[in-house]
Amino acid sequence: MNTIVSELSMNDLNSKFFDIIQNENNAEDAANFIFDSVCEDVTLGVLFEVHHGIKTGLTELLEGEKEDEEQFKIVNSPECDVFGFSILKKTPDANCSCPNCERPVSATRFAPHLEKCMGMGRNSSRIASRRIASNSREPTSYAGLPSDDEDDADWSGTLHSERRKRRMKSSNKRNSKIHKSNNGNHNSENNDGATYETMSANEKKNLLLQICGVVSEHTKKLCTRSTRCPQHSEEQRRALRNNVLEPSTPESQSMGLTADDAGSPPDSSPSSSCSSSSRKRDRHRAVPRTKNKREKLSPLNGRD
Amino acid sequence: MNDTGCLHLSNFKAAKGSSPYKIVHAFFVASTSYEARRYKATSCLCFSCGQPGPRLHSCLHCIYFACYGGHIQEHSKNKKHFLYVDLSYGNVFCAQCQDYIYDRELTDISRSNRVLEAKSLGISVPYTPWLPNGNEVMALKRLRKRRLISPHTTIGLRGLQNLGSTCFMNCIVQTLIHTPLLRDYFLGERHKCKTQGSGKCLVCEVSKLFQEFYSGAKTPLTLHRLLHLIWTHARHLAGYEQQDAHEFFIATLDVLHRHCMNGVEETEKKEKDRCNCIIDQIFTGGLQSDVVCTSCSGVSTTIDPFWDISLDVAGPGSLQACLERFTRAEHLGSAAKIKCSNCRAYRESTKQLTLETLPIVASFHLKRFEHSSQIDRKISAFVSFPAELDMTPFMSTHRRAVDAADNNNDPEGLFEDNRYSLFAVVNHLGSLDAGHYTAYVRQMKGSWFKCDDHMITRASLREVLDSEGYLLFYHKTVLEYECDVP
Repeated sequence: MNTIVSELSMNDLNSKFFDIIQNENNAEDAANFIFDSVCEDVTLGVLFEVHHGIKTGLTELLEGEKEDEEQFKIVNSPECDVFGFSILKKTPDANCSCPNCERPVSATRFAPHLEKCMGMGRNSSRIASRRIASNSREPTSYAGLPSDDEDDADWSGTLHSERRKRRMKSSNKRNSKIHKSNNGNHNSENNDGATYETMSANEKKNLLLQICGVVSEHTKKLCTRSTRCPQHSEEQRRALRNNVLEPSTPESQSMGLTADDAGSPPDSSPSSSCSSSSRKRDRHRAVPRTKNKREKLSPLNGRD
Repeated sequence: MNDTGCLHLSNFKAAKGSSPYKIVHAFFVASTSYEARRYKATSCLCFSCGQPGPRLHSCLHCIYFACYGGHIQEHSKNKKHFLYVDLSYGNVFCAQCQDYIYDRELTDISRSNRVLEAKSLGISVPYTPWLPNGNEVMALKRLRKRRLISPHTTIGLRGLQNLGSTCFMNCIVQTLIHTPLLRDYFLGERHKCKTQGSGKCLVCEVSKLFQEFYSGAKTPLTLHRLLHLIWTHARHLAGYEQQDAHEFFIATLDVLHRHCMNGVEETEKKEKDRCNCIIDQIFTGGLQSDVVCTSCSGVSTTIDPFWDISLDVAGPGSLQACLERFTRAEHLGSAAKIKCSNCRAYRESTKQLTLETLPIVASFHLKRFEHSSQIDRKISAFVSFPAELDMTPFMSTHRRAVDAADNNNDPEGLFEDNRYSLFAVVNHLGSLDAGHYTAYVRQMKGSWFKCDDHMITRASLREVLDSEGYLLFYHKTVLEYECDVP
């Protein structure tokens, strides 16, 4: 390195500085000098950036080719939203796969479904238990029954259409039966073949875990509502179960007596530590219970 | 991209390496030490005319300082020293090419010296434009199409399907997606996740959402996975019956904050017990609480982190008035005596809350829902809120100065810029039990949209400011660069 010839000492610099600021008249000159220097520096910075971009090709590289925006243009119309969808028309419902149970669910009913599915809401235990039950047996055993269960309305998609197909099949069957019965066989049941007589003990047991099952006096059909359907009384259900399930086997007897409890096995809710019976008691107070929980757990408590 | 200098520089580097440049730069361009600054202050004058400019350069061959007014050219010609360095920015001029030339190796030296300079002075690193690395250059060459955010296209906008009373979630998601700094973070793909593709990380899910919003697709999105993740990790929300957008916002931040730990880089960044994840960087501020004993005037100060500020709406008519009241000293009264550590006795005291540090996103929650044992009701009182908000009056430093009535010397706050701009407003429409949430979001400056589940429509700023307001979101207008030296 060469020696630097015009170097001032720090002392020189300091005394020069004090000389300058001694005189108030220099203030404006000094201010202007500083302003000009800063201004020049900043301008130079922009110039270098632009020069660098052009010379190295970076600007060209970054700019690339602008995508054609025509297809993304905002629609300006009072009848449409920005995408051009009518504000009056409802969007078509889509299906989504529930991350919890992997079943297809109608998107517009997903939140209530998930609440039940995760075992958080009012109906969770019932839904969960039904799912457990349905996993443990072949799914076709009562598929012939026309489903009128309102709780299942959020099952849709493939499952739904499958069911619909089956329903159509069964109604065909029904028609053919009506024809037959017109031929004089009035005594025959018109219940799609789904009577307790035709079922095995196991099938009956499984079915009665899931549905009310009371036989209607008018239609002779099984009630397919939930095990706590309001149409029929506990007595009716108990009587039916005692009647239908062989009273001789102790297993089925207990079944008949505790059909309601059996509807909520203890492990149905993933997070619940309550026993099934305490949950049963709580069932009708589900809303205030969650409120209490909420008060205890202020959101920020969980921060760390 | 061609940033490999020129033939003449290459020859020079082959002979002498890059250290001459490194030395000149570390002393006279970015002075990386006190000693270097002394050298620069005392020696950077033109050796020919003794002037500090115009535009001083240094010869790269022999460290000869001369101005661009002719003297550096003269030196170069006479000595046949063809390369010289501009002392403001450190760019090299080649007299044979007759132009400034750019060499990646020298650029990298320059950048690391700038960081050292900032560190040595204890200031933040000055802004430098982004430079792509080798892979990024390849990607930019291969993928030439550029998607731009413009006020005339739907890029960045997306409707959200209502999943059965989930408008509270949709509003919060719209707000998060339109948070400028969060957008930069996610579109920059800064979350590198250890759980990759497991579907269990909420940060990854939000990252995917950003891609969806900017994909150009127009059909509404279904946030079923997001809802499932949040309910899984914030079980206190316990189902969709509780639809408070504010509670959901805080719960979402909490889960995001916890899942940020899944990031490859995030885990070791914890310093002084303060989390440095993107959520905390953007949303966390410090709330200072001063309790003053009325007997001895002793002050007990605590600082707590906050994500949002809940404000009473009964009474004041504007957000600023709400904040003024929030930060006012309050006499705690004789019924709430606090033990003073100074007096060693229970004393009456005053309590004052102020903002010690401001978050980048200031979130205000107007307490419109009143829950008491007797009655739950909604307060629809009008509260005006501005598009631009200066938070300075509510800062701890400022309030102290005002209350001490000596605001003539407040050097601390002099250079601080605490201006905020409104970028999202969540509104609750209807009654307490049959309500609906909608959100106004700012896509870019002056471009507002109303998000009503799947329906996105244009909105005017006037419309936004005239709305009732339940949650108000402000973004810091000017961001400072942090000095991040390894």
